[in-house]
Amino acid sequence: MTETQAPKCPYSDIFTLPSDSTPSVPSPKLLALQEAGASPLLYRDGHQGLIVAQYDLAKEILADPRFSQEPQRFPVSDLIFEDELVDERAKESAKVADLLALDGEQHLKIRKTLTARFALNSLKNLETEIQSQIDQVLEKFSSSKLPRELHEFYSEPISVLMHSLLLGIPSECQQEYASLYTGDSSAQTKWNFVRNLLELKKLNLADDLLSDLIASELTPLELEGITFVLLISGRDSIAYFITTSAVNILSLPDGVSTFLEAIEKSPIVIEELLRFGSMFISLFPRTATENLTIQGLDIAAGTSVSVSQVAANRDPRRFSNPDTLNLGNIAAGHLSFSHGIHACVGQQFARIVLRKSLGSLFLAFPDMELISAEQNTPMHFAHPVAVYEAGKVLVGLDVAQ
Amino acid sequence: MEILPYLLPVTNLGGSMEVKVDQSLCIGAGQCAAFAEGVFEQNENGIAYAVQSQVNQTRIDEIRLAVQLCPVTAISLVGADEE
Repeated sequence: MTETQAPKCPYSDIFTLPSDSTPSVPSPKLLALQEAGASPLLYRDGHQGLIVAQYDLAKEILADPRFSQEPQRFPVSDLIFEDELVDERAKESAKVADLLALDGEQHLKIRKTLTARFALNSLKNLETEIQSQIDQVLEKFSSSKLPRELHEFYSEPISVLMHSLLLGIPSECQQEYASLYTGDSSAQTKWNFVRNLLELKKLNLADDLLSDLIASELTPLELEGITFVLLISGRDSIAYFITTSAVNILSLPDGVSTFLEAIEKSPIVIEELLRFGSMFISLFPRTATENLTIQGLDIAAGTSVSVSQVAANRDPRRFSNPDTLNLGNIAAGHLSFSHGIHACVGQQFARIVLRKSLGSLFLAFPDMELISAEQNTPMHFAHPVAVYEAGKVLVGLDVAQ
Repeated sequence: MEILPYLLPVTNLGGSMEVKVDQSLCIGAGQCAAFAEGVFEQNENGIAYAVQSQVNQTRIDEIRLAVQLCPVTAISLVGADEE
């Protein structure tokens, strides 16, 4: 369907990611792509691939094993981004254990070392501890100075504690983990942290994921590589979803009481918050390993395809009134944890944390009011892939304030 | 749970239906165990299985949801009146 042509400058009919999206109001230019099955998309390396904004097509592409995670390329956007230099060992570790970049047997080998800890029965054993740690963050947040900022003082600390709990990051390392991973730090600093952390863990194995990995048959490089991925992946997403869901609930008339009623009935209300607030404007691209025809769309071998999770989750063919947050909707089936073999391995953990974080927050402060949310005006993407930034969120804790 | 709007209505409740999980495909995402709790569980490695292969008709909506949510299409309903 496309002619081979050396890309010169972006043609007007090639889509580049718009910069006027916010989590609650995606760019009309992005949503306009839902009509076409797929539209041309320009990548930073000059590649002309496709962006898919239709739910059914997106879901089928994500589940199709004839796509590869390689090469990793990012769509053109106005985010300035450069690859960071890291040492050889880090590169080798990433090559054998970066779940997001691996295909086939090696991907399954690494993934299988994680699934026991993320299984629901295993997570249920952690629920009491999860709740107790959230309560402690909530207590500190309640006594923080006015006006209270939700992301840095509630969502981020919870995300760090939850990752620390599941992985088994010792308490003496958690402060460094928080500062390196929630603040600015170089990729090499993060790799160094991974290596030190593993050395420490090896001396004191416990009942946690890092100990499982150390005791597994993973090679030293695989162990470092998957630990690097685990420390990053999902930590930012959990924080983003706590903050963004809170903003979306607080923006609805009677949102807090509606949410509290809904969550008491069923945890399924979380799915609508995940659908409406989805984080990835486009997912990591999939590249066709052979010539494919999917739902009538021809995709030539070598073509990269980016699924717009945000747009697919608002496809009116799949979700009624998709641009309205309706806490009565049953939105299971959204693509916020992706789909196919790369579907988020920690998604049930994320659901538990999100449910408890939001439930506890609004039970404690049923009169909470939104003062301002930075994310309600377009921000730079948090990553070139591209994902939304949660931004600062100021809240008032009682009506009389 | 309410009837899920995106699911096709079950038109034939007669006869017996069996639900199966292909464990060679399962990647342990836990969707079936989360959305059809008690119908599916995960073993000690996180791999899913159907607690009872015979379908309990009162749970049919959840089972169909699980089929749809499984990221790797590992769940099948045998004997179902599929299109």
